[in-house]
Amino acid sequence: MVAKKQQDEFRIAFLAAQECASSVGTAQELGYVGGLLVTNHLGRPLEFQCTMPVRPNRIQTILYGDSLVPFLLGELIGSTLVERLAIKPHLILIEQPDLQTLQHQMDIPLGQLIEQKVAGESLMIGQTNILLQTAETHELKKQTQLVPAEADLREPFLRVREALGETIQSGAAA
Amino acid sequence: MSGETDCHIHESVPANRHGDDRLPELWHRKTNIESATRPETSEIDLRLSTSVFASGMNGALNRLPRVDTSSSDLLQKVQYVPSWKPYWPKVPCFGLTFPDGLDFLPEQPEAEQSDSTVEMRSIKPPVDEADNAFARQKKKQTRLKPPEDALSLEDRLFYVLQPPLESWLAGQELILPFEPFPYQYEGIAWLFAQKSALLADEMGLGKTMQTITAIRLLLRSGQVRKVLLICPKPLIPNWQRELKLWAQELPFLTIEGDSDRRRMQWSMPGVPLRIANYELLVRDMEAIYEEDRPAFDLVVLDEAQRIKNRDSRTAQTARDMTRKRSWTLTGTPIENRPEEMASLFEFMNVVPARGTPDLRQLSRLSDRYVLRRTKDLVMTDLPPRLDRDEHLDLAPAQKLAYQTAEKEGIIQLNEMGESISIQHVFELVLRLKQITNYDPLTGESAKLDRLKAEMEEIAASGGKAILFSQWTKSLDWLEERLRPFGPAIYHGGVPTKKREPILQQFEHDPDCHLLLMSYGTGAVGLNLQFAGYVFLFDRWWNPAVEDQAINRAHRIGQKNPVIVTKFISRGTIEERIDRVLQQKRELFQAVLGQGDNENVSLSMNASEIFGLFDLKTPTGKKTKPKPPKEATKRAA
Repeated sequence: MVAKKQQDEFRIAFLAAQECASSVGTAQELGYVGGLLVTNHLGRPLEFQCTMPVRPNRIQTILYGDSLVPFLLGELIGSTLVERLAIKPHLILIEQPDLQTLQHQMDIPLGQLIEQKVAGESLMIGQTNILLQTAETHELKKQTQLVPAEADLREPFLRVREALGETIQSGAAA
Repeated sequence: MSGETDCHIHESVPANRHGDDRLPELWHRKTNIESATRPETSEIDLRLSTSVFASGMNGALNRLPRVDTSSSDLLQKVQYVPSWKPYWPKVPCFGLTFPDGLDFLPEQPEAEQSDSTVEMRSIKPPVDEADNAFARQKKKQTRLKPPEDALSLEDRLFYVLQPPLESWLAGQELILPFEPFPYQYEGIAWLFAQKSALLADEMGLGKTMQTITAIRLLLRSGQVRKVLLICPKPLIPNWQRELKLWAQELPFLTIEGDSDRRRMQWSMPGVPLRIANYELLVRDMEAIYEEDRPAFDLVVLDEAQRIKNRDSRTAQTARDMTRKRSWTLTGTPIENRPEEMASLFEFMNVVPARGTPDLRQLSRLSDRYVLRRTKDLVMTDLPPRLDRDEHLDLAPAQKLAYQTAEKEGIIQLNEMGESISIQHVFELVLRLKQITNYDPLTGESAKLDRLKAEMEEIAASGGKAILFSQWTKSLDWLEERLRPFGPAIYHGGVPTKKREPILQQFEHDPDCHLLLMSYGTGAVGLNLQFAGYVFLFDRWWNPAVEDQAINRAHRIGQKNPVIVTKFISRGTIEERIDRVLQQKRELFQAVLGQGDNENVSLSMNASEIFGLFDLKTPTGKKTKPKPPKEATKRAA
């Protein structure tokens, strides 16, 4: 089928992570959760993976220092989610710069959403400017033309965040 | 300590304290002393050789020290030295994959494919960032919400992660011929998430389109694979037409033909959507063994008031269908009594079998399972409907015939005494109403004269009008007399196959200015928004049915005001009926608000029908809310 074939041709994943507070005993602890949504080029969901809250302990916080959050989000949460995917995307998009460290952990191209286009460096997919973290962009640029010109690639991030909210809520209820 | 020390001492007695190797020298000194007369003193070199330790230790003791070793326990054991390496436990995850939906898009011809493996698509030129942001803000996004009964995280995430309907439907995944209204998007999103639903939008707001689109999305997202749509027989062509318009890629099968053919159609695999009428459903399900009856993911009942009587065979058959989702559609969920909704709720599996929810419970169930919007609330941009009542004096011969019939009729009714029934009164009402249409003897008709005058004006301006009457006989009579306006006729006597071409002719033939329809056949489900004029040649018993008839023209797509003309013969039964119905409508509007006037009992009851002739309801007679069936059937 044509639709199926196109779906196989180009898949985009949307990765987002956020801080969450959870109660441990009587104390409130901060943690981080991440979610990864794979869609076809038209935005229809194919797979979703999310983590339970990850909390660094005191030693980890001291030893990682300023690099703790990029490490947690990119290398730990991001790479775990990518590894677990059954449907591999052709491009992973992020909004948060802290997730950029994920690029060192995988071969899938990573793109950062940016507000303003950067001449010669950014790529426009649908209505959204993307800064690619990889040098091999020629084939990818051809594939991204399957995405409709009117597509808003920020919208799927709203879905991921809402889904993370549901997950945290259900975790709290459990 | 060893080393040389310069030391000169005077000594009188030589003393050999340093060993034998110094003896010759000492001896020589001694000889010199003896040979002198006086004691001589001489310097003696007392420098010590290195072999002599300053401490005076004897060099003979120069030997290796003897060292003995022995083990002994330490005071305490060696402690583990704390260390840390960057180890993180595995991050627990949760995931879901979405079911494959059905693909209906036809294969594109190979020739259309480019050589490249990727189909190239033109991209719109980038717009100004500020404009872009504004456009993003401006366009409302309709998101699917998880239903209240979706408890598992997986179920809830399925809905949360679906794209907004606007992007799902706006030419990306599914193509729609027209942009739906915001309230229609909301209706589609609501239906999509409901296992049990009653869509009760007022007539003309697009229940059909919302239902088709929701079914389409459910099929495409793999939530349902086998859907059955049940509707009244006259509406099947309408559904077929709307399906081709709103879901051109969706294959469907209409259950029809002889019994063998139908049996095969019921069991045919790979058909996502079947359409059947109520009568065939009842007949076929009774003929098929229970274990062989088909099961469906979704059953939709259009004009669901057909199952308002829960003991009817239709209602029982509908309830017996094996299904996962149950939707009902109607613009008039309650025609006479709120309890009628209980039967619909029972089909929807939200009340137990034979359950009789009270008003409070019905209201609570409605909040959760019923979606109703009225034109007043959502269609603020729909052109207005202009109602005008034409009060006409009967033609002379007509008047004579009417007065005679009324006089004789009332005398007869009075003579019947206690044996009088509502059916007797009703028969007189019908007879008088027919005379107000035209005098059967002379053919005189004040209504026809006025209609002709109006139609000449409408035809001259190229307009189109729909006329409704209670009687097919009146419609046939009118058709003969309105030939100059190319009338098309559409009522229960017209075979189903011929009905659709009649509607097509009315829409496209420039010489066809008038469509004559009966209330029973033409009042529901048809889209005739290209007509700008509606005539109610005689009045129906229930204004809700009249509204349904008028809404064939006054609905979405109508660009001009719709002029509705109601003919009322002055000084006749029609005026009295109109007065009663108007009072009831005003009363209900006062109670329930302007937005909702179909959801109430508007039919005339027995005492109101008796009251038309100043007759009292006989004692012990059970009042019926509606005219007797035989009379209604004959009238239609």
